[in-house]
Amino acid sequence: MRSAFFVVATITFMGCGETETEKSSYFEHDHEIVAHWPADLGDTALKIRDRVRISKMVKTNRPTIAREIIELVSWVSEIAADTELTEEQWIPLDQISQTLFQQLQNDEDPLTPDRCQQLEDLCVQIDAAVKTLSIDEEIEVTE
Amino acid sequence: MNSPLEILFGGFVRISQGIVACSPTLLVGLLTAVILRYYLGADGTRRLFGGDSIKSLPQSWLIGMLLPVCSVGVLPILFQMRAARVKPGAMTAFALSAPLFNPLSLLYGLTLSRPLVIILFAVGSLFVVTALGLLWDYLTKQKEDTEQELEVNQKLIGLSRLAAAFIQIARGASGKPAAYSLIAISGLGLLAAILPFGAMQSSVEQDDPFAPLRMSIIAPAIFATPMLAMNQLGMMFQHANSPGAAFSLLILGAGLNLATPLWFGRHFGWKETGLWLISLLGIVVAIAYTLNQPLIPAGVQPAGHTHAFDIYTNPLPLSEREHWQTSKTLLSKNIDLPGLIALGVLGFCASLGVIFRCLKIDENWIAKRKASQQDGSEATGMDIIVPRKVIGVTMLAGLVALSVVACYGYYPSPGECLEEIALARAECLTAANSGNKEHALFWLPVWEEWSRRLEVGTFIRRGEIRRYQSMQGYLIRKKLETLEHELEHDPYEPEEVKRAVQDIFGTNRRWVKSFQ
Repeated sequence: MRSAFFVVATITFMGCGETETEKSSYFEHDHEIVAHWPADLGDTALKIRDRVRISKMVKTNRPTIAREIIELVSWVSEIAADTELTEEQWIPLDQISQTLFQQLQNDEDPLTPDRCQQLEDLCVQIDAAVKTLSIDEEIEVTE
Repeated sequence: MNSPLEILFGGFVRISQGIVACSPTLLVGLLTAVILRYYLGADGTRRLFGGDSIKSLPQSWLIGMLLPVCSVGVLPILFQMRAARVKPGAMTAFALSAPLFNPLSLLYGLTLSRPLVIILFAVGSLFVVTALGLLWDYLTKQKEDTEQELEVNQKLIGLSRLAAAFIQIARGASGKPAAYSLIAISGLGLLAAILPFGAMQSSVEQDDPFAPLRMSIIAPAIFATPMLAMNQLGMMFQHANSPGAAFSLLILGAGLNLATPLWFGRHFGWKETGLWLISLLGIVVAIAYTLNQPLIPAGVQPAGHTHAFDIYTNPLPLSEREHWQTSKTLLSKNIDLPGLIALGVLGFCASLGVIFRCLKIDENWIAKRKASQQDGSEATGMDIIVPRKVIGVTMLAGLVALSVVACYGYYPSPGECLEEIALARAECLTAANSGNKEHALFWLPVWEEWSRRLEVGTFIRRGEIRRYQSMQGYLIRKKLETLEHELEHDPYEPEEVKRAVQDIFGTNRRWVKSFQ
């Protein structure tokens, strides 16, 4: 019974502890950041548009492109909240992106012409928000 | 593998932390047990837990959800439930559900990024305890329980009953409930012996098919208070770890410990308990795998690891040589004041309990003294004898009401939270900027915890948390974690730390403003 327990324990945790031996840092592995994580809000629209454009040109690799678009849309709220947009400015972006995210998740093919148009509409909203931010920054610099 | 010294010191640290953590709820458990014994009595206790009908299972689950106890605090209550001849199925339902949630932890859970998950987990726990309660009732049907039905001397009224209740608490703190509690906590020592430092940092990833199973194997040895379990669920969802593993942790980690099956085995048979335990594991693993994929949070980036379970592995890094010094530092860092106060009270009760045992002072002794003093005369005039069940129900309702009131104390108003946050922020960021990483690492979790309390405090006072507020809270915690990583980075990189601090300023301003 006892030996069986140790066998199970060893199998279960094999590989967990052994590789840690030489490392002294508590947080040796930093958070992994995916390659398509946008640099800022403007970059989010850019990345969505890029992928939509590629999906129209190339017919291969569509599942990966679709997945990345869905992820980008789901990150809009977070990235927009990390800017100087006010709560009132943030709410419409959050609502549009979250609604679209839910729809894209339920779609069999998230890259239909209708959805692509909705994605473009979202990008236009993002551009408008970015423009507001730039104007605010300019006013701040002038003052 | 851990060395013998690491096992010794690591086990000591984990067991000590566990003892302090369980002290407050063990006290509540002992208090609840004496209310059942002296005020509700056997009949009232049976009725409280639903009597002999099928509703006893969901009713026991509901009572468990309301009482502020952990899996250790449940033990003395189980003793009284058995003495009152409560249905065995109701006992398992209560034993499993009481440590999962209480009003404090439930509120905390509902402010996590996906409150629906917590509601689903609560419903899942109801299903688990009902199925297992039915099975347990069936398994123990043939079993004759040799325990004498609880009969408390009816002469114990008023002050003498209070004295008897206190003696019972003191005897419990130095008797079997305390011994079972130590067995429960020893699971933490066992895990510290088996699992090296940091061994679980990457073993519960969402794409790991063995994550729920692995967690289900470890969890019965884990002792976690409801708040700790909820905190860990929060971290798991923040890191996009396996939701199935989170469910296993909640049911088996918070709900069960090593002492619970041992106690059931001793009183209801080892074979039956073994079957019950296997069924419990089977049901939990099945639900965990069913929930695992659908509950994976979309759009959240997997962090690739988690520190949520570092507290169940050996606390001493393998490269560490100063075992005693590190153990002392770990203990002084992680032990909180309320836990220490509760431990002091428990220690005082236990000391008195030993004296009572030596002097053979128990409830019968009190009853005899009372009888000789009264000399047969009954209370008359204005001295009305309130039925003990009325007092018992009032006390239990008071206990539940107290835990609801405690929510307002534990989660203060947004203004108070923001004051505490300002203090923690100033300490943390000043220390981080000046390279005092130990000081920064002390204040960082304080800040993080107050960020959660701010949300719950706002929710219970204003009835809602705006999505913008939640998002800013999520962002501040995400950035605090990045800062924590930079502070712990080996080699230490001051420029990276300063960059992380700079990144926090803007988010902090927006976050605070959204709550003002």
